[in-house]
Amino acid sequence: MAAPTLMNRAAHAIIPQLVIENVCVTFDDLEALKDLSFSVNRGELVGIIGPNGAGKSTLVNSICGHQTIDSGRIVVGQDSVSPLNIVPGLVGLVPQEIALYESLTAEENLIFFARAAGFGKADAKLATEQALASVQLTTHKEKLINTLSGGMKRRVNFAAAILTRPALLILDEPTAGVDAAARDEVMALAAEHARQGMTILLISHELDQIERYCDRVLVLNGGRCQHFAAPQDVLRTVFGTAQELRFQTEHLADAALHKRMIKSNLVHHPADQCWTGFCRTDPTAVSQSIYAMVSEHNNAVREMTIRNPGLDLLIQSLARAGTQ
Amino acid sequence: MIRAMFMVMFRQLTRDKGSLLLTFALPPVIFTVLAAIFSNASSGDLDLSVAMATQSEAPVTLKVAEGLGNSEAFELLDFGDNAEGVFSAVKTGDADAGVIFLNDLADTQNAQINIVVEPSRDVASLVLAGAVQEQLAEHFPQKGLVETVESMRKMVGGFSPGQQARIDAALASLSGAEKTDTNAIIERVSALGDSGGPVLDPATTYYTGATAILFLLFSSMHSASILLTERAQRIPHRLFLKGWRTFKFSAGKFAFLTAQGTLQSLVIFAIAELLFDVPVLANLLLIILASGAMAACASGLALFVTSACQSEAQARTASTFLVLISSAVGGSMVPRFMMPDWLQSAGFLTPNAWAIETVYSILARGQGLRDLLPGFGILFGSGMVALLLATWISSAKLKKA
Repeated sequence: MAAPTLMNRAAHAIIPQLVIENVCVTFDDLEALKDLSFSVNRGELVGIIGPNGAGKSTLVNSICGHQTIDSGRIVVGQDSVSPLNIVPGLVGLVPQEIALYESLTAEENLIFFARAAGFGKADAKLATEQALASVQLTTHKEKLINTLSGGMKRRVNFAAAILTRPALLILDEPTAGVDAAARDEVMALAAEHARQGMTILLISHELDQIERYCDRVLVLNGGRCQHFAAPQDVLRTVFGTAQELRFQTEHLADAALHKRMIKSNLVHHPADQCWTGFCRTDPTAVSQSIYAMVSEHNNAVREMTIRNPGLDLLIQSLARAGTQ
Repeated sequence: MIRAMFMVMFRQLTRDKGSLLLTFALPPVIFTVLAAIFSNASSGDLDLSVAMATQSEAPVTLKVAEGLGNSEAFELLDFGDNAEGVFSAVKTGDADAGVIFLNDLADTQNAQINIVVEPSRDVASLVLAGAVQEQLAEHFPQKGLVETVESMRKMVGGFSPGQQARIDAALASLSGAEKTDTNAIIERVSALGDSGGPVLDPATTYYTGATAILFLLFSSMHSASILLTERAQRIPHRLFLKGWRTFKFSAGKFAFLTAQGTLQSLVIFAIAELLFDVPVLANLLLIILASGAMAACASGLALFVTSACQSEAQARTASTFLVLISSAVGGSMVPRFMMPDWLQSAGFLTPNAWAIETVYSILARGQGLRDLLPGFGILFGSGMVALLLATWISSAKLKKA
């Protein structure tokens, strides 16, 4: 399935569905969110990434009303959100865990969540049927959750969050620890629902998915918004035209090779036999020069890749900067 | 490797306060409680409370009553000459047994002492009877001698006429009174009266309530562990629980556990009626109310304990300890009157004591709704308070997660 973009969602008006204005959250001495502002439009699929401790969980908890904000404003749809007034069904949450009752069927689970959100009996039944159909599990609705495959459980988990047709859907690490097929199933579902007009926030460490599926990505670092743009625009802003260089040597580099390599400004992150760096000029010339340099030190290049830098490189560099 | 593994286990234990508590602090506590209960129960050194009424002003009767009153074996509740008060105190459990001195004990033809018995505390009445006999022997030594003579007669196969004459002369010289058997003076009467129905087995009746509350607590604790599964799976997060909705989330569980517990209790009561003639059907409405109140109490406590735990393993251990202690102190294992005073008082902090008292009051004492209201109120009320606490803890944990 081709990844959807804002372009093919032209049918949806640009209406802000989530507005974060100057939000600050502090835990004791730690400022988890610092004057954070951004907005997400209806039908957008926005990824939220950042190194550990960047404030992702605090942001999600604040949007869900689980966390009191110190200042600022959060608006979902038409409603201001706070721990005291979160409206059931306004926000749908797909947590990392399978948040379902294992000994109930898929249908029974969804009916429970619909009823808990305040639906009447008939409406709960209807919403359940629609949600099951939208995740293509109608034929499995009478199966107990503990008898479903991992991918199916993920889909029911997703269905439980869209029952109420929420103004905002939050996917909090929805594919952590699942196989590639199940991961693709969930992401395809998210993309399809975004295409139909649902506003979705995706928090994930699967950065290739963010690049592939998200219209925009919010890069959080130290509680601040570092970047908020389309993934390719963020990468272009950060890395320009540089390409990512990775290679591995046969043996551990001796001190002299290590020193030469760093001095050459080709690599910035040696680790054992693996080297990463940026290739800012002609890739062929750079690779030839590395091969030559390594062989002069009685070593050899086992494997080398030169590719466009991804969000993973951005997060790594943010994490490194944080630890330094 | 062995040392390394040893150190891993050691560090895990020392850094886990819960495990440390369970390993080193709780066992001594439980040992202390159980030792206190069972040593008291088996030593015969019971802390009994005895209700007493004296309906005669005769000097001998007053002397015996005074002697009994001075006994350190009892806590004496003196009802003056009010025999009804003694019956009432024993019936309601305020006293373990009662004694009524009906007339002049010197009048050997008509002397009578009633020992008021509550069937579930029969041991107490036997101890009291022994103490009364001791007082009689002290104040009427010839009575003790008569009993000794009777025992010897049985052993030696009878006395010769000459021997019998010497014995009679000796007894006459002691008091000038006629021969008297102290056992004949003492009559045991039930505080519960004669219902006319089948004879009630006090132990079965007592343990009907005791068993019901014990298993209610166990099964409620087990069922309430779903709360921790939900928390681990972040279901409360998904439901965006807040305030009133958190209460409703807990209340749904409370309602189910109460219904389940009520049914479970009724099954035990039905078995008691069918197999042991415990009069359940005759008191069906009150028994249903009691089952509901006990189940509500157990459900609330189970939700409270579970909500305070971090994991299912912790909840399993904590609930097992709590149920065992509550059952031991509350009288589900050994009747509370056989425990030391301080444990008898502590028993009323447990649901077991209130449940046992309530059920026994219905089945054995035949008490009505008005008399049972305090018991119902405490059981149901404590369940509701525990439910509110569980909701509050769940809310706090949801915020922290």
